[in-house]
Amino acid sequence: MVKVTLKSAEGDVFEVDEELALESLMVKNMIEDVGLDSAISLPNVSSTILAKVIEYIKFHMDAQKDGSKKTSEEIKAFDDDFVNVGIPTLFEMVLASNYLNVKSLLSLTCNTVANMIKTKPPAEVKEMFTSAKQAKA
Amino acid sequence: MIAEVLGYELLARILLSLGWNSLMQARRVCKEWRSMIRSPEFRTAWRQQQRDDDEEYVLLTAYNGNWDRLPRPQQICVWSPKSRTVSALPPWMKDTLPPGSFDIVASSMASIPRLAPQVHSGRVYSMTADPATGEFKVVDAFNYHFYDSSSRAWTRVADYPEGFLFDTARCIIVPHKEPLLNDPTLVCVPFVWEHKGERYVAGAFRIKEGDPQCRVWSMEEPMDMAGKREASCVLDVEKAWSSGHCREVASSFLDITDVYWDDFLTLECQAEGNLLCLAGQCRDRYDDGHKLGDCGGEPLPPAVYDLDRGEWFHIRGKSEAVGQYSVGEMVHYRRAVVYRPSLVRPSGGGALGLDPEEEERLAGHKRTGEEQHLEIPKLRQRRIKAIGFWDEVYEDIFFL
Repeated sequence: MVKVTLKSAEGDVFEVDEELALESLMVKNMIEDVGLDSAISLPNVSSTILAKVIEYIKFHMDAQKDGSKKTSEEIKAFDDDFVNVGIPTLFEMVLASNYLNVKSLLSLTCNTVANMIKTKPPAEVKEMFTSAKQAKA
Repeated sequence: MIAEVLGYELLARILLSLGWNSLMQARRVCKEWRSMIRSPEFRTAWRQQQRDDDEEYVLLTAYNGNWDRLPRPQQICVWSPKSRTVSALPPWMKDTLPPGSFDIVASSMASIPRLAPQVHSGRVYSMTADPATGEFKVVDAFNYHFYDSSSRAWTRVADYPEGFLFDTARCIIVPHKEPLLNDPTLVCVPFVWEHKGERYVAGAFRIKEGDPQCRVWSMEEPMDMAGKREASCVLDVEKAWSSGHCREVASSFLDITDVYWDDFLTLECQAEGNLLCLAGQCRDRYDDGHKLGDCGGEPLPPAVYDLDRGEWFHIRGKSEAVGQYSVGEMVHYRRAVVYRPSLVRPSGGGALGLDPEEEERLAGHKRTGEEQHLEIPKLRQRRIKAIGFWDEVYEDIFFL
């Protein structure tokens, strides 16, 4: 199995299967451009988030494989749990999945944010975004 | 700048996925969101996104449990068939709405029968909606107020320029401070539409105590369109009138034979292409010495005018149930139902419309040059279907 090396913003190195890395269209393009020899550097993604993204892709790849015993309820439970994080982390995941171009994760995280906007009063939504901005800064 | 957190594109992506109501809420988050949601680019994109599942609305009046009696609370609310929720329009509507106590006033959905603008206690309500955005406007014609769903507020019509029209596909004129055409009483919110490049206005009037009359006018150019954004949307009827650019195309008395009619008459005018459909209901009131009561109403046979053929045709049909009710009994046929002429079908309240097959059949009659009334038995079957639909609508409302 060919391995791909991903380098996070902090410089941490993640070694993943090529198959998994290709789920990110951004990484896929990079591999096509520069090949597999050097580590692919992802300056916009922190180690924590990158680990989360890898965890997400891995779970869904396993779930899609033949012989997977995961029910749709289990997958949904995983997704729900996966996005059940603090607002700053959630936003970082939105940004990372957009940057890495992982479609399924992007729609999952965006829907989560949309649901928050739907269910919270405007003042709380504002608070949510303001605090996320402060956390970022 | 709270948009900074996610950047414009991602924020837009998230906001685009919101439904109309949530979007209206999101507008209140901050200025940037507001201006973003209001921007034409965003609206276009949102419309595109929502094309498949428009939020549609049915305008309802809420009654107190016993809807036989006047006075009733004049509450207006909006029901969304999609989310199955009733939302209140005016701020003064605080009471919980009792189940089964709604009446459809108008609907932004083509598939749900729209009803005559409702006149009760001197109030007329009418509604218009932009099917693309779900934005709707409610006209309280009597009090010269209208409700705008985008701003969620009632506004006095007086604050708008004279002759102001809603810029939706189905324009409704807000009557001026003086009733249009001073002498006869306007019993219907006039309807403006275009056909083959010409602009028409139709409405119904009651001349003194006489029979109600439908009239169609054509509005000729040149009209005062200066400063108006979209010519097809804005039209100063009164001005066109006084300057003599209005030409009467047709008029006809509404057929009220066999219909008991009292003082109250509500009519709705709808038009599409060459067909104009005027239908409504007579209301029947009683006075038991203590209170004024309302026995519901009797549907009027609708009148359809065909611009291309230049002829009126009247469709007769009287519901058997109407007229049999007694005081205090539950009245099922409360309103005449009007369908858009393009999909005119027989309706639940006994006011029959046309359907395409019937239209063809009628066209046959036309050639003989005589006006012929449709026979009820032939229409009954379809009417039952229509009643089914009617019931369906109500059921939905009952189980809110």
